[in-house]
Amino acid sequence: MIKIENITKIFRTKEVETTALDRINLQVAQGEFVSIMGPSGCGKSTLLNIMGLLDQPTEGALLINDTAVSGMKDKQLAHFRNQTLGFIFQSFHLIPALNVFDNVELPMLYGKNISTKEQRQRVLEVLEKVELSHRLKHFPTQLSGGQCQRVAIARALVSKPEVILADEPTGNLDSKMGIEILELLLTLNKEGTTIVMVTHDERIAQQTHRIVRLLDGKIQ
Amino acid sequence: MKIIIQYLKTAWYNTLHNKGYAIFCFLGTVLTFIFVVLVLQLIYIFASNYPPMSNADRIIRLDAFQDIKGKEIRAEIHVTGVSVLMENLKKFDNISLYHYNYISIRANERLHSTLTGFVNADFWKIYDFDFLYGNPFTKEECINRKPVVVITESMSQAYFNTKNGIGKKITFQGKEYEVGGIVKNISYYSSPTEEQCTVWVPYVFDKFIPNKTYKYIVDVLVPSSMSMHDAKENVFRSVNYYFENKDIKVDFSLQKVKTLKESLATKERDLFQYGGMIALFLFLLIPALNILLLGNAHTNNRAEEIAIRRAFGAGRLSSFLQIMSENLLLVVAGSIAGSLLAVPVIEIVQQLIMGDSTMENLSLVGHIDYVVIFIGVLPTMLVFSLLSGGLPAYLISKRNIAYILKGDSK
Repeated sequence: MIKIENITKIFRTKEVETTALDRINLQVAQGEFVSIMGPSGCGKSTLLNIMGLLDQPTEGALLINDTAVSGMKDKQLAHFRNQTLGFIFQSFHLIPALNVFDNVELPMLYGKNISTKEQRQRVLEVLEKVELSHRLKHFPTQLSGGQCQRVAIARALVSKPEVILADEPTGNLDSKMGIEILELLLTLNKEGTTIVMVTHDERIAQQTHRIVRLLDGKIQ
Repeated sequence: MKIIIQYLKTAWYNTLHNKGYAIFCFLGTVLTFIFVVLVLQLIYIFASNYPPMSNADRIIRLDAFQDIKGKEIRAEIHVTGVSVLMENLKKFDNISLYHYNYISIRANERLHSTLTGFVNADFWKIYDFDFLYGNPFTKEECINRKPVVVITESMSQAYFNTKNGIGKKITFQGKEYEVGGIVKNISYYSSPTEEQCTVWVPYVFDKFIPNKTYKYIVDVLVPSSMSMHDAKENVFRSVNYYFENKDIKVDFSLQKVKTLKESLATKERDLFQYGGMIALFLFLLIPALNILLLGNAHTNNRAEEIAIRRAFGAGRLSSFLQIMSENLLLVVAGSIAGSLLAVPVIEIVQQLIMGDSTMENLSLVGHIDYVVIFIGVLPTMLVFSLLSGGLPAYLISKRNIAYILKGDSK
């Protein structure tokens, strides 16, 4: 599903050069739920960003569904992200100007031509799944943290991606809410979605199929 | 369509949540477009056969003649003389007579010194005035000495507090006249004469002409069936014949017979036209740079939104358009307001500078034409929007998504 070959990521400024990832090799199989753990600054989010095509590696190759994505142009990358990947962020990253319905609908605006009726149906389906179908017209500022994260999950699911990349999805939530979100992700995984999740929480990571531990940019 | 609605939704939201920037951008655009509309209208007036001068390239003007010593011949085309000249020009259907002078006009208990034109009925056929109310006076009304006048809308407004002053009375030189027609305001620069009249009276009431210091301006409209060369030759022969009969040696040649358009094509006019374009460019560039600098800082507020959209499949072009939509929203609103305010603001400024006594006489542009709005203002608006918002939008759409989502919004 996802194949990372010798990926290195170096951040350069005028004075400093920091190696965030150092020749990482990793494979994630279809239907797998993998968590990435490690101390702050070890490169977890950088690895997830590269897997999500949000950032470019300095060296190495990335294959998703046997497709080499390294040489893709911006338009192709955008299309690939839209069709194959879904993102869940620690701080939700909902657009404050849009209500719940519009936020969830967002990925479909850039994707395949789907009728308005079907788009609406899909949005309602995923909001039903995250138990927020009664909050369609609410804006992010009118929701609790847990509800915002559910909206973010619904947004990640709406275009039926094969892979969900979650960057500390429970990081901003209390433990009860965190467990609810994890249960939701576990359900999605059981339904066949591949999930890669960055987390600090050992208990949450233990619930996943596999834990990848990073330290100083290397897999332990 | 849906995506455009989303663009506008977020643009509107950001406008409401960044009022300082929105007000600066809006007011900057309003001020810019007041000047832009003015300059575009002036360029349009200079570059085209602008009403009432629609026939400028088919009008031959006879107004100043010199004798062979270079001395101006005055008063030779007066009331009796002009009928002889017109007899010589019989191949032309429309020949207008025009003489203008300042006259104290009393109306509605107000007295103003007003530039008044004495014209014949053909004047209204040669010059394409836009009548808002009523009609021009006819040849029969001139012959029958009917005391009617045509005035401009601003004159009507100034004297009678209404644009429709039809039937109202004005008095000058001891005689009362009825307003029979109201014409749309015209610009200084499209006036048939050097100075712009706001009242026109049948020439038969002209008490100045018998005085030898005054003369008529004679304009001949060349019929469309006649070639311009033939018309000029015809005019040349007629004028020569006229002066030969008067035993005056006039310095006149075929080359000196010019259409009104040719007479107006002066270096000053060209300079004004090209200077107008430079002014237009500066009017756009300076505020655009101001908005650009502020917009660059403001756009950073939207960096996160753009990064989210790109993470979920928006391309760079789509992100660029997303940012531009907010700028365009403000620029469109500002340019519409600027276009609507252009004429009133210009008039207020004119009144402040020139004083109230001349308010019925002055009109820099008269009015704004639709063609200026659609062919001039709309493209200029897009250029202004691109100048002021394009660079920040481009820069933000090129930024690294991961960095922005991590919180690096520099």
